[in-house]
Formats: sequence, C-alpha cells, structure tokens
Amino acid sequence: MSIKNITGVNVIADSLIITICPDGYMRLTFEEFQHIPLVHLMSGLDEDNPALSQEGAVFAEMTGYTEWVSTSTPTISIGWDWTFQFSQAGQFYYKRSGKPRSNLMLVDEQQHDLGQMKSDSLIESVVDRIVWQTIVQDYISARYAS
Amino acid sequence: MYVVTGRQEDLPAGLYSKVANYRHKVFVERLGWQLQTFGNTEQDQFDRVDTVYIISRDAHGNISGCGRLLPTTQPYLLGDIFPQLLNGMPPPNSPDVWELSRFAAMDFNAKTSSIAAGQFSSPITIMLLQEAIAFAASQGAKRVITVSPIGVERLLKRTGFHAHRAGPPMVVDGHPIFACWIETNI
Repeated sequence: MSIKNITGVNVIADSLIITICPDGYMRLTFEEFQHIPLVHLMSGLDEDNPALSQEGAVFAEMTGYTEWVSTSTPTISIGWDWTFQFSQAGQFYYKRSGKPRSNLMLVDEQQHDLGQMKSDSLIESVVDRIVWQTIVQDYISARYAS
Repeated sequence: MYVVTGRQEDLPAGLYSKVANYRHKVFVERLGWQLQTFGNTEQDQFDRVDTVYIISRDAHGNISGCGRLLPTTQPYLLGDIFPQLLNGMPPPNSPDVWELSRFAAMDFNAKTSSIAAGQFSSPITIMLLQEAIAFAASQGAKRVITVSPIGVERLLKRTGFHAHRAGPPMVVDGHPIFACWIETNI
C-alpha cells in the first residue's frame, strides 16, 4: 500500500511525535499513552437496544456508548460501552461494559506490538482512571432532554 | 439461509432491484438515512457494473441482509465522500484494500423479533461479513475498510473479527459513523 506514515505533534505532550501507521493504527508505548489527555467527543444511547423497543419491556437498564479523543492530530480515538443501572439501594450509576475500542496499538520499548489483547487491557486501565460518568450523564441528559 | 455473491450481471434476474428495494427499507425507511432514492429503491454512484454484492436470502428467497464491495483502486464511498473519517490518512488506493459499504442484516421476514435487534441480526451479520471478507481476500485484498454506524465495531469485536477503527467517529444525519479496518486473515 502506498501510504506513508503520517506524523503530528501532540501540543500537550509536546515532545511526543504521534504517528499513524499504514495499517491505520497509532503506535505508542504505554508510558507515552498515559501522558496524553483525552477529552470527551460524544456519547449516546444505543439506537438498536432491543430492550428499549420491545413492547412491555421494563425500563430497567439503559445502554449506550461514549467516545473520547486526544487533542492532538492525528487523533487517538477510544470508545467504550456503558450501562446505566439502578443499584439495590435505589441509586443509579454508569458502568463501563466491554473492552474499550480504539485506533491504538501499544508497543514495547523496542516498538514491538503488545498485541490486541494486552493493548486493550492497558487501555482499559487508563480508561478506568477517567472520571467519565458525570460527563456522560450531563451530555446524555442534554442530548435527549427534549 | 444462503448467500449470493456477485456483480449485477452475475446475480439472478431481478435480484439487484430487490437489493435496491431492501436497502431502501433498511437505510431510508428504518434508519432514516438521507440517501439518493429512486421510488422505493436506494442506489448511488457506487452501484456500478464492477460493484460486488453480498446478499443473504432465506428459504423463500427473501433478502435478509446485504453489503457491497468495491475495490479502492476505483472510486468508493469512503474515499470520495468520507475521507475525513481516516484521521488524516490519504484514502487507500490499492488492490490490497477493498471497501465494504451499505452493510445491513435486518430480517424483515423473521418470525422472531429480530428487526428489533436493529440493523444487525447477529447470525446473518457474521455470515455476510465472512462471505464479504472471503470474497475480498479471493480478489487479493489483505484488508477491508468499511464506513459504518459505530455499532458495527462492537459487533466485529464480539464476533472475533480482527478489526479496529481508523479514527474518531463523526455524526452524519444524526447518526455516528466511523471507518473501520478489518483484516482478511480470519
């Protein structure tokens, strides 16, 4: 394929050169990735949630997605699913469901791919340090309020 | 359920017009996409003589899913309409890459409530994807790129395809879409 790597400078982690590889992945070490801020892009309810469209369904669980990006170009893109659940104590809360999905492949110090599973697990650990629930809740409330 | 794959001229008589009608039902009537229509059919400039269709049909011949494949060496949807989904990469132009678009697996004739499952009924989806990827691979493709609703990524991951997004999604006509790479070595 006649595509050369595309590079860009992350203006926040200003010493880091981010590259898109010809296979579409952006490759970073875990250490580099951890220092890149992620910002909220969009969130939404699942448009095809059968539980919400079946007649007589009890509105017990709402599901959706949220998308986050780096502020640099080219852009790191990470999305994950969530469920909105009611606890036994009557409280509601957002909970991540499933692995994050991204255009990232994390690499080791020798620039070797860690592989999809390992990479996803490490991305997951970073995602779980983000306090995303409130941001998603506010966004969902505003988007679907009308 | 079985799958028919081929260019317009290879398809059984009348099947292409049924595909165009099925696409209208799915994308225009059910999903509300603002697409070019001709009566009760949906087709665009990428429905050409070299376009390959993957069509699933039930025992009565009813269409339960479809997709279309285009080589990226010719004009294709992502390259011409949505290059911004590639996160700054130039659109691929290579025999190694084919595009899958207008992908849907909605069985309007199923006795169960599979329509409620949305655009993608899982067994049909998996079969269609496997057929599409196998066909692309048979033409020399190492990877398939697709423009799809973001729900497709979840489905690809869950069903074991080697796939990853090309960049962030964007909202078109109120629906988030994204570009996704799928490896053909399944």
